Amino acid sequence: MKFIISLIAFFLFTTSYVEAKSETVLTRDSSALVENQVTLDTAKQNAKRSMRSPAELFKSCARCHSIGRGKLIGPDLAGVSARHSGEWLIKFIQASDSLIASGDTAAKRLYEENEKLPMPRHDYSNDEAKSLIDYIFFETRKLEADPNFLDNDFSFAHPSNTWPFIIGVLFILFGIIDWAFLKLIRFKFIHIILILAGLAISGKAVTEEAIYMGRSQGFEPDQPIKFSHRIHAGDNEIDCQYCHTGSMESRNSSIPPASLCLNCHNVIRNGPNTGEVEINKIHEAFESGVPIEWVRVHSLPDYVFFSHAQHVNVGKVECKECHGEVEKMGRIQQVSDLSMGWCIDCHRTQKVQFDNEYYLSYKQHEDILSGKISEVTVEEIGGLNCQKCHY
Amino acid sequence: MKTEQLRSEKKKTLKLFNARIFMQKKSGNIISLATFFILLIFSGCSRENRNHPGYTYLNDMTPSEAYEYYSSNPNFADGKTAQPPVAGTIPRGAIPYQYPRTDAGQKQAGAELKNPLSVSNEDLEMAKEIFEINCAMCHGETGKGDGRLVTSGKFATEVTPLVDEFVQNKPDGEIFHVITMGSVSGFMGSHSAQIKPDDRWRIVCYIKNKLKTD
Repeated sequence: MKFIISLIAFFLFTTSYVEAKSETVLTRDSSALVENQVTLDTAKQNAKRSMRSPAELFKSCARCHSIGRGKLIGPDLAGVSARHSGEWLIKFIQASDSLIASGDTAAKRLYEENEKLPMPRHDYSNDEAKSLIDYIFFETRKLEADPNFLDNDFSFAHPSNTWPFIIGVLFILFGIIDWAFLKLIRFKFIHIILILAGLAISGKAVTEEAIYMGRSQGFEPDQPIKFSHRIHAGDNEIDCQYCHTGSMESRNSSIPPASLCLNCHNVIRNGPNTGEVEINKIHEAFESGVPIEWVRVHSLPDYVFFSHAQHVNVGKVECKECHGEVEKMGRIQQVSDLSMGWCIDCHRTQKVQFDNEYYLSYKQHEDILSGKISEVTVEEIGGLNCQKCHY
Repeated sequence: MKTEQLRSEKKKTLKLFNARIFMQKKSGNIISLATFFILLIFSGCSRENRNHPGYTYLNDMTPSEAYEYYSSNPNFADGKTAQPPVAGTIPRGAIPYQYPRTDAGQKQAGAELKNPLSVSNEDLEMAKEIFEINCAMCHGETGKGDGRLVTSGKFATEVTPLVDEFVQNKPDGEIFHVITMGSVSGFMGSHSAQIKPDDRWRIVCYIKNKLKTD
């Protein structure tokens, strides 16, 4: 009977032992680096302007040129727009023979280098030639695309304690079994040492796991759009608050709407690593009005009150003090454990920014003015009180 | 509906679980404690999967019962909790912006809108911060149109320099209009959702006073 009851208890326990935030976790296939889509979309755009598509035009180039696959009859076109100016390229595409005849040194050199085979004339308009050059530029960039551009070179997740626990339990079991039945080891103090060592190892594993549980440190989910903070906040040096505008005024540091992305991405339509695929998702979201379902990374339990405004605006806490070096992250990762001890540690040492008018009424403010004390920590104005965060 | 069902199921299992524990008394407690420890240990495995947030202790108070800003909401047709104001209503204290994003609208805004701020040092210091957060990446910290996005070649097109006469000769209202609605060319987007009206006027003061003299 007891066995059945314990089985039921076990079953019930597992069902109540639910996943933390499974509701919001959305994952998409991460291997969707679509290559053909990019060319198709560029082609579609150009069809609107009643031009021939550059992909179509390039078919005639492809008889003699490749992009990144080495020299055929003519030179490899990878990175050609870095080697020559746009105007020069248009002239050369339209009529290379007249450019050579005009005595242009670069054209002449190319002519000599390629066994004096002239490139035939092409009846492309200026716009068509331009789109072709853009096409070659983006095709070149695709060669340099890094499919792992989102990966971080650090992880704050603690290693799993499963094996230390199993080893510890095996130590204990072996100690007990050998003592009682097998009797392989003559001295009993060795059994005791084995059991104690096993208890220590598995005990440490259990304690650590109990501490890490419910903290999600190192949580780094795939997001619906392959957005890289390394590119946006790192390379482009865009301020955190340009996109997360609410952090000064609101409890939440707001997630930017798609319209905010379009401030830049109405012009920048082609990313270095994913082409147009990922950026098109923003345009789709903006046009359809269906919001992008980002996966929440940092979340506090409902029984804790936290306000960004209080910390960023009043306390002048830098974003990276809690969120880590976001400018070096591809995918966003939870760096801090967001535990209560972690909060309290900071409240004990953080200094109150007394330039806020609200603090003028505080007793400590007079003491600072009169020189009695030089600084006040958050703890001293009640930063450790339970009801500051739990109410 | 799904979330509600899930919640009620969770509550049921919790109630049953508590009842069982109470009935079993000591021996049951020890066994469930042991299973708890074993589960605790295998929860460590979830950390090897970066997509998994891990497990939590009995989480009846962890997820919010109320809908939060960004949570999905079955009560609205579009599934969002954050709803725009009802059509035709005006939030308290807000003045609807009535100039369209056209050349004529910009000129009209320039003629009619007056800067409510008088230029003071405090305003300019604050304005510098706002300018560097919102404008400097394209227009440059000195306003010469040499922001990081332009010098790194990410923006293929030129960005309007703010120190030139083209901008400096415009009335305050026109600059305010461009920040609010975006440029007529469509190159610069609307920043009305990001920058509050007062801060927009501060930026105008900063462009007209500080940038010009520096």
